[in-house]
Amino acid sequence: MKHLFLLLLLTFLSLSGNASLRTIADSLYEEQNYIEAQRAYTSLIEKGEDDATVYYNLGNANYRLKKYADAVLCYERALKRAPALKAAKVNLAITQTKIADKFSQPEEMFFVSGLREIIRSSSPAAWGAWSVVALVFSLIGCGLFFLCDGRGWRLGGIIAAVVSLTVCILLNLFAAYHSHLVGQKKAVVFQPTYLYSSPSRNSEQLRPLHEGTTLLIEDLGKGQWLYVSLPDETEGWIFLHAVEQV
Amino acid sequence: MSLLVVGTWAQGIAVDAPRKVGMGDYFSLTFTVSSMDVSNFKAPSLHAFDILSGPNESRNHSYTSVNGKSSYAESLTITYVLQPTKKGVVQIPAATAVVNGKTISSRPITIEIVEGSTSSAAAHRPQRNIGAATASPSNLKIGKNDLFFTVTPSKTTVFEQEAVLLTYKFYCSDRVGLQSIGIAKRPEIRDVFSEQKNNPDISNYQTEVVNGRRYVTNTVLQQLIFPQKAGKIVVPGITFSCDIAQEMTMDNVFDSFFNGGNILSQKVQRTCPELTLQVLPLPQPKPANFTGAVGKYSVSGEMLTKQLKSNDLCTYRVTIEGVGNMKLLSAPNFRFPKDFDNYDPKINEQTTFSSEGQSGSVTIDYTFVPRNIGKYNVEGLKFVYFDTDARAYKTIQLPAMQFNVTKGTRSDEEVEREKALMGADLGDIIKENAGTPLLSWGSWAYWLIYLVLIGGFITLLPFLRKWLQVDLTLSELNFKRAGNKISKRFRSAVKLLHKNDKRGFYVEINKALNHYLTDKFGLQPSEQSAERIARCFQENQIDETLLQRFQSLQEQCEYARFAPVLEGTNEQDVLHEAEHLIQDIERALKHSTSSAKSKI
Repeated sequence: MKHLFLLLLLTFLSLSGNASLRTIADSLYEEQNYIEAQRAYTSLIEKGEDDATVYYNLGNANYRLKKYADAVLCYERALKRAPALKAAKVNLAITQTKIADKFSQPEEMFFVSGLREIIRSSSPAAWGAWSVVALVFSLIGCGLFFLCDGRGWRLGGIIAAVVSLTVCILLNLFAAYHSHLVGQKKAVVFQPTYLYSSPSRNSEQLRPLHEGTTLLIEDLGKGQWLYVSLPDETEGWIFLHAVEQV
Repeated sequence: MSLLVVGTWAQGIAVDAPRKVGMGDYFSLTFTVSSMDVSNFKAPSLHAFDILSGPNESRNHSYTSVNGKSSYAESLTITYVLQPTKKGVVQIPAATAVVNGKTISSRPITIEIVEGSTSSAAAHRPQRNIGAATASPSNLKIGKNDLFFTVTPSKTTVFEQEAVLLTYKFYCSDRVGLQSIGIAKRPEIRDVFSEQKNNPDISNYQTEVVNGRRYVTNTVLQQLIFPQKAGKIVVPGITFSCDIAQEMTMDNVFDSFFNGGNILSQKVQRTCPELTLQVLPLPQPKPANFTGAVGKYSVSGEMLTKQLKSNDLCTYRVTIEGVGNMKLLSAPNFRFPKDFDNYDPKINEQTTFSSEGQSGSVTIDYTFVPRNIGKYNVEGLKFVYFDTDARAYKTIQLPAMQFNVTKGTRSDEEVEREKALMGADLGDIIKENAGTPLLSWGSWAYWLIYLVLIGGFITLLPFLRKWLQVDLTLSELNFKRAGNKISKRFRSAVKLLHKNDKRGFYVEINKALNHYLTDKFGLQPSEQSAERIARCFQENQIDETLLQRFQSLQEQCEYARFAPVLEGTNEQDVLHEAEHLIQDIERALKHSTSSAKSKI
């Protein structure tokens, strides 16, 4: 009976606007009614309101329902839309401890991974905005150089211009790299399967793969197979229908 | 217009039946005679089949009018509904009848009976009714013995948790055309765990003779129940609701029309009888490791991770196969060595419904992380279950294992991080819309901002320079400074005058003039000779007259400093002259610089 009421309420309110549907979904989650919350978030997405927050919340609901592969897919989709959403990164890491496949990180210099984390901490748009600020400072410096007569001002101006320009270029590079990371196509395994050495079931099985593992799509391949790489940088072929694309 | 009664000479009896029929099919065999004046119809021998229905007679009249000629024809159809009893090729001999005094016959036909069911038989099936009758008269009262349901348990006395299969069957006499069955009321059975399986195709029926009457029967649904408590279990009867096909008569033909031309159906309810089961308690004392498994099982264990490495996640899989209450199995306790991290076991079951319970396999995955290298002896898993056939507890002991843990690649920090994450609680939901950024990096709008800023700066620069020129070139800054300073000195000179310090006044005016030369033209006091001053004025293109005024003013002041005050010298005049002179020099300088600049 309660479910029927909620269903009617959902239908009525979905006709009167999505903002209220979002609130309902949030309250359902907070009441710990995860099944209904999951349905509500899914219908929000179907209606076109598919921003990062909705996917993040849906990921939470799926996690509570122990549907870890769906949760991973939702968090990855949220991060595609809001690359710097820290909450999604944290929850994704928590969910990944519940999935069967574990990978050891490939060896790399600590500052490389440190730098990558710094770049990933802000979205490309944020880096872009700061780079515009650096550009403005650079132009002010140029202005001082060209328009002032005092030696001190002109020196200060040229230094400020050069430093700001370097910063501006650097921030643009950060934005470009993060944008590249976000643009990478990914897929999540939904059915237990194997990584094959060539696009055929008769080829060698390199390793088993279980639900919830995130793969990087290297090549869309042909027909029913995708060429992918694993988190430990192993590459191989996987059957298209065993995964869902992010 | 005469009505011709066409006495068709019946060439023979037309016979119609499918060529191939499956063992499970029923089909109709029809004989048609093109005359109504039929007597003595003799059906052929149909001993190779079960006669479900027939002979059913139907008469057909048709009246046609062509080109003014009317004709009227009659025919008689006799139908049998048959079901094959054995496979092979069966012959149906000729049927005979006497029409208009003459004996006519049908030709013999052969039907091939095969395994299973064929679609051609389905095409010959009358109206999808389960019962043999095509339709019952609408005023037929369907009695208790025309349609009833039974429930049969596989066992009436079982142990706790032992499976009992309940089979629900319907029995429908051949007078009744049963179309479909639904469940009207289904009371709950208390203290049991149950699983149900519906029969998807109830039209695939068998025939049975019960109390001398022939019925068609089939299973409607089956239910597996696992009693959770000892004592008496009452299985209340399920009430089924059935649709019975009704014959179309003049009374209900209009109803049928509005019903979409479908056969009208009558709804009838039947309840199957209540059952009582006796549940025996499991014998005491129960062994220590018994967790409730009842049935017949075998257990095997397998280490999924071939090589155990420190700080790596390893999995040990236990597979339990058999039949019984598999869905209710819980993971047996597995004792890991002390310095192993272990996590909740994951249970996956793949079972199918069977008469003795759920049969299939259940896999239990135990995940663990060895923290240190070394050799560990681990006790094998013990699985205890109650064997229903032997009526005793049985223990399966898996062999002891040796874990050989070698150095792993993952560092302690990685594992600690992973453990922290595993224990962490999920972050909360976000209520506000994150919102998409106004501008995304790399879009044309983004680069447009760059273009606007840089381009704007480049185009504005010359204008800025020009606009700022007037006040901001070096010498002009000096001009300003000089003007202020001299006003200050004049003011202090005036103060001295008020104090009646005439000498001080002239000193002050002189100082002002000297400092003016220093500030304006960079002439230090030691350099301020008459020639230098003159040259300076010339270089700056200041008019001769102004030079003369300057020099005379200087003389006046110097004179007044050392010589006694002359009558006729008016300090006010001197002050005014000084101020005007400076203003004129200033103006002259402005003109000369602007003209100089315009020449550039």
